[in-house]
Amino acid sequence: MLREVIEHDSHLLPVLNRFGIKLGFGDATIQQICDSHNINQEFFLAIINVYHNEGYFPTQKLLELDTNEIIRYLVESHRYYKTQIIPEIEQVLSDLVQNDNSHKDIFLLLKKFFENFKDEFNKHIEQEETIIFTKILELTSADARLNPEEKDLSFLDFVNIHSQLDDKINDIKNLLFRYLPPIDDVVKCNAFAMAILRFEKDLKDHGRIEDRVLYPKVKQYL
Amino acid sequence: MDDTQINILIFSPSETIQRGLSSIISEAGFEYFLLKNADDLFDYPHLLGLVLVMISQESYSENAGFIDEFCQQAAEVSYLFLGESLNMNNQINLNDSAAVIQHKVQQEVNRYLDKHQVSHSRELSRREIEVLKLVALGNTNKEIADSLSISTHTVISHRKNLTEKTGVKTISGLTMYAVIKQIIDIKDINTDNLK
Repeated sequence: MLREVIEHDSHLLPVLNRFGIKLGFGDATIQQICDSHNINQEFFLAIINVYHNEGYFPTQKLLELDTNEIIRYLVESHRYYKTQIIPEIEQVLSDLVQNDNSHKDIFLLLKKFFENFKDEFNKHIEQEETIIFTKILELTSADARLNPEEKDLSFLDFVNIHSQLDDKINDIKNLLFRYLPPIDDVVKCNAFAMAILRFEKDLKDHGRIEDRVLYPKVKQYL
Repeated sequence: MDDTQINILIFSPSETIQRGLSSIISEAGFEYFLLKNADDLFDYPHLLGLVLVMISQESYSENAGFIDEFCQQAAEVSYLFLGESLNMNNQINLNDSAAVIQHKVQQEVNRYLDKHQVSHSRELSRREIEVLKLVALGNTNKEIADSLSISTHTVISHRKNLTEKTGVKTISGLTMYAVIKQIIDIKDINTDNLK
């Protein structure tokens, strides 16, 4: 039953949403839910297992998945970042700037840091969706075996940007956990910490799927 | 940072042994991975830090070369041998109590952590603080080299140490660190440049 999976690891809930699955699935099994949502069960299981277990990454199995499906999933993840987790972090940072008088400066700075991260991040995913994913879909569609001279792969250089974005989120996490003084507003501070941890983990898995599954898959077409 | 990862691989074709050991290991608070044969390792391609393999002597002699090669990114691969008449420190007797097994695993983990944590002090040197200040104020490596009369090569090496000691990698992160630690004043920085 899918319910049991979520009770065991509630972090998977936003991952389910990306497949169009909403809470309220009662006692349905994974098979039933995949069938009724038109989801490839293999793909679904691979993704939730990669999310659940940090060490697990069955490269071979993942490489056999359908490119369209992977891209659809990645785009849905982008949407989750943009509409849920980033606004949530922004809100809690604004609250901290307003409420915490003793560390106003630090939170202002953190807010600025996060805003800059957000701009860069949005630019990155927009480019990814409009240029890279489109190119990949062209490249991998059945009728389009390109001529050698048309095989311009320079867009894959883009991959490096991931690590810079990851570094920034990682820095925010380190500053928060290792260097920030005790903060009085426990509720907001916890909310901030949880959101950053969730975002960091999600981005890491997201990046792994792009860098180690999607891009290697594209290279197979050349 | 990744040096602190602890991965415990329970390598046994026997489901009984896998189930028993995994419940003992998770009770002790460690993450574990279950492997029935060496091919299962392909599902865990990026293990870092300590890889502690619980394995029988026979499986070890068949697979050790492969495991060591596969876990090249790990800081260390060590083994705890499983058997029914074993009594050495790095051995687990399958008749041992859960507490004894947990103790042996913990000992291995502690030995590893001791070895990898004392490697460097986290205290910043006077020179590193000077470099940090200039980085936070938005100077390039060349500018820092000129104002401290050192080579850019030395500046780069100080910056590498700064990142290693603080765990903070980006310029904006280091700037925030400098403000939190009161190495610079927030008024001296241009917050639009927090990139």
